[in-house]
Formats: sequence, structure tokens, C-alpha cells
Amino acid sequence: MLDEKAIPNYVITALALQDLHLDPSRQEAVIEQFRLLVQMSQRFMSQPLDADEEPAPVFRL
Amino acid sequence: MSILPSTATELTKAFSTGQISALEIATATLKRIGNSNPTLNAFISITQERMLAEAKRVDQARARGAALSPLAAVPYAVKNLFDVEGLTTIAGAKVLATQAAARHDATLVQRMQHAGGLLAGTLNMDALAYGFTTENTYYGATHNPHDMRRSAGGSSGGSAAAVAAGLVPIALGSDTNGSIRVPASLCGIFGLKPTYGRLPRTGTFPFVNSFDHLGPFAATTQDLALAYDTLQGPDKRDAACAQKPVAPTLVQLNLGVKKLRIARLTGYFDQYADATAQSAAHIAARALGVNDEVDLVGVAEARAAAFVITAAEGGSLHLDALRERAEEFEPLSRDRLLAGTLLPAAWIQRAQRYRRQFLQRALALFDRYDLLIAPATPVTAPLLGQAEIQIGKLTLPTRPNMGLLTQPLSFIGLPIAVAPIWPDGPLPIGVQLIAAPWREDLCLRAAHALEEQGIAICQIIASQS
Repeated sequence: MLDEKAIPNYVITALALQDLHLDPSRQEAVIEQFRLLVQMSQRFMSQPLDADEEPAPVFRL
Repeated sequence: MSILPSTATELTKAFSTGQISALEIATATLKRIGNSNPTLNAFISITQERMLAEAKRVDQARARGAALSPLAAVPYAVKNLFDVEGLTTIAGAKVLATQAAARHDATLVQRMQHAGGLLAGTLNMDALAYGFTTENTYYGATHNPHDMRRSAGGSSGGSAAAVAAGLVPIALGSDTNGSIRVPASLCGIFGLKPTYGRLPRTGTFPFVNSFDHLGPFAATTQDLALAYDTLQGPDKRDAACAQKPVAPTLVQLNLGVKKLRIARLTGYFDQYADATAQSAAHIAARALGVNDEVDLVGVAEARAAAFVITAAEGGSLHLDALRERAEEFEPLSRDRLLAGTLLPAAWIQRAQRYRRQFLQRALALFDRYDLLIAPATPVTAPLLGQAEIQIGKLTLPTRPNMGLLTQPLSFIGLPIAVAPIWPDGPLPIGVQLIAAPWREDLCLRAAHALEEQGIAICQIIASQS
């Protein structure tokens, strides 16, 4: 189960790790967007996948 | 000639029979753009000098008795993420405005020029192609020709508005999550998103490499097929471009749909379509003689996975610039790009694996059907600045959700034509005609069948020069 309270700390730490230095007043907007991406991710992360289901190929010939 | 023909097919006919010169066509087109663009804001740059020079060359070729190219003397314009020699490719983004000018045309611009096309200019878009409304903080919003208070859709909003306003008969755009299909739907014109890998992206500014497609807009299916056939062909400089020979579609337009097995997509595609959008899909299905309905399982998850991959790939592409000049990014998409750079790799990998599973599930449907039908947008054109859309009892933010019905399908690269339907009132809405990979011919045949019946009509809002 995802701990929603972990999101702000994760975002602030990950921004620093990526060398992305934002004014603290701007961080909240990024946290909100990350929260949305977390919600989206939860939709497909729970889908069962077989071990042989590798990333999709492009239709290259 | 007092009235300029509005379609590419009519223009080439008038030109080939000597009723009008390419220079007259170019001059009239530039006048129309000059008259309409200050209020429409479809064009970001107008390539007047180049267009007149191309027109003179086409006229000289005719005077020499040279064989006429398929798009001889046809004006066109391109979304401003296509390289045009001598112009900076800004992709709607202030952060790119100081880049050097392009030294060569994009491959598809070269092909249009080679076919005799006359480039009128470059077209407005959502910054970096990240959006569905063409509301651009730095370059302004593009207005919908059917109601200037409303959005033209995005991200290729300038391309769709330019065709719907009768400024050019053909425009080129890109579609990552719906950026051809959404504006085609809201502006009431035809659009084609070919199979992923069909058309080379060489010389265009990327957004999400694993989803990016290019394609044409037009006011008729004949023009759409003509443009698409001109654009086809392999190009090894785009690693994702299939090395496939040209598969002409124009000659197949009239084959009809009687022998095709067609179904209307239900489930998710009904749930996220308002009554008007659902009505459009029903009208198209009825006109094509469709009784079958089919539910594709896992669409909401596919859309979510596409949403997450988009943020991650887009954020990764712009990471260096985000570090150095974040304040120059479009405020409407900057924070999502920043958030996208932070996603755990395991989630992205999982999304890509789910993509494979969803693709296999969709391909299985094409064992039973040749073509699938779904609405292109959840609603008709929203007002510019409208924060939310209403889908039945559901209220959702406008900007990310105009692509609800397109995003899950470009996620798996299927070819899709959009045909404009008018269920009620003055605003159009598109239907998606979806085929198996590489079967653009079937999408176009179905769109043509709807057009022939008068079901799918492009109503050009033109001010004749």
C-alpha cells in the first residue's frame, strides 16, 4: 500500500538528486503533478504481467 | 480565376488545365492568411518569400512542359516542430526560441516540396506538443474557426485551424497522444495518424520518441490520401521508421466498406464520451452498416501507462534545459515535465511491459474485425480557458483529458483516421476509424465512405480572397 505522506519528501529528495533546484514555493506544484503520476501508475502497476512480457516492440520491419 | 478552389485536388486540376498559375494561388493564399491570421492565430511564421519562389519554379516547370507533380501548386503549412530551412524550430516553446535556424527541411517537408507543394508557413501548437488545447502562454491561443471563443484542440491546433479556416488545403502535424486526432475532431476536418513507424520523423522536434507520429490534415479524404501517399517512404535516419515501400491509398478510396468487418468500441469509449460524442460514433457505425459492438479490456490502464511514459520520456528529453532554464518553459506543462523526471525506473518499465500486453490484446480484436470505431474526443470544442469538461456526471480538468479517447490507442501505434461528424448544433466532433498496423488504407476507405454518404463533412469557414 502506497504511503501518500511519503510523496513530498520523495519529490524534494529526488529533485535534489537530479540537480533540479527549485524555489520552495514552486515545489508544491511539482509535488501535485507527481501525486497525479503516482495515481496513474497505480492503475497499471496492479495489472498481472507474465515474466515473458517484455517492453513493447515498435512495428519495425 | 475569381474564386480560389478550396481543395488540393481542385487546385491541381485548375493549375494543370491552365486556369490559374501557381503564383496566383500563392498570392491569394498569402492574402487569405494575412486577413485571417490576426484573429485566428494559426500561423506563427509565414514563409512568403519561399512560397512565391516555389510557385515560380512550379510555373516554370509547367511552362517547360515538365510532367506535373501530384501536389503541383498546392499550398500547405506545417506545425512548427518541423524543421524548415532558415527558421528556428521552436516547437511552440520559448525555451527553444534562441536555437540556431534549421539548416535543412524535415524529410516530410522535402517530400511535399518535391511533390510541388508550396509552403505557406509554420503553425501554432501547445508548447513542446504537451497539451490538447493549443493555449500557448508565449505564442497565444489558436482559435477554433467554428467558434472563435473555443479551442482548436491540440497540440497541432494551428494545423487543424488553418485547414478548417480554408487558409491551406493540407497541413502537417504530429500525434503523440492524440495531437492530430483531437484538433481534427474539434475543428471538424479529416486527419490521419498513421501506424507508428510509417512516416519518418527526421528533422522534427521530438516529444516522446516511443509514441511520436507525424501525419496530415485535410478537408476531404481525397486530399488526405493524396498527402499521405506523398509523405510515405522509408528513411533510415529515423530509427523507428519502418523500411516499408509506399502503399498507395488514394487509388483504394472507392473500394468501399461492404466487405469489411467493423465494430464499435464500447466500455471505456462510451464511459468517457458525452452524449454528443457517443452519438457521433453511433451515427458513423450506422452509416457503415455496423451492428457489432466490442469491448477492449484494460483501456483505462493503457491510458494511465501512456500518461506516465509521456511524462517520463518528455521530462528526460528536457532534463538539461529544466536544470538550467526551467523558468522559460511553458508554465502549463513545466511542472509535469519536472515530475516526470522523478519517476522510478521500475514504474516506467512496468508501463512499457503493460504496453506489450495491451497491444497483444488489441491485435487479437483484429482477428475478428478489420476496423473499429470510437469517438475521437470526449466532448466538442471547449471554451478557451475552460478549466473543466463535463462527461455525463463526471467533471474532469480540460487540458489533460481531451486526449482520454486517443491516448490509449496511440500508445500501441495503431493507424487511425478521424472523420468529422455533426451530431447536433454548430460544433463538429470526430470519430476514430481504427485499423490493424499498416492498414491505413482501411481507415481512409471508411472515412471516404462516410464522406460519400454526406455523414462526415468538412465545413470550411473560408473568407474568399
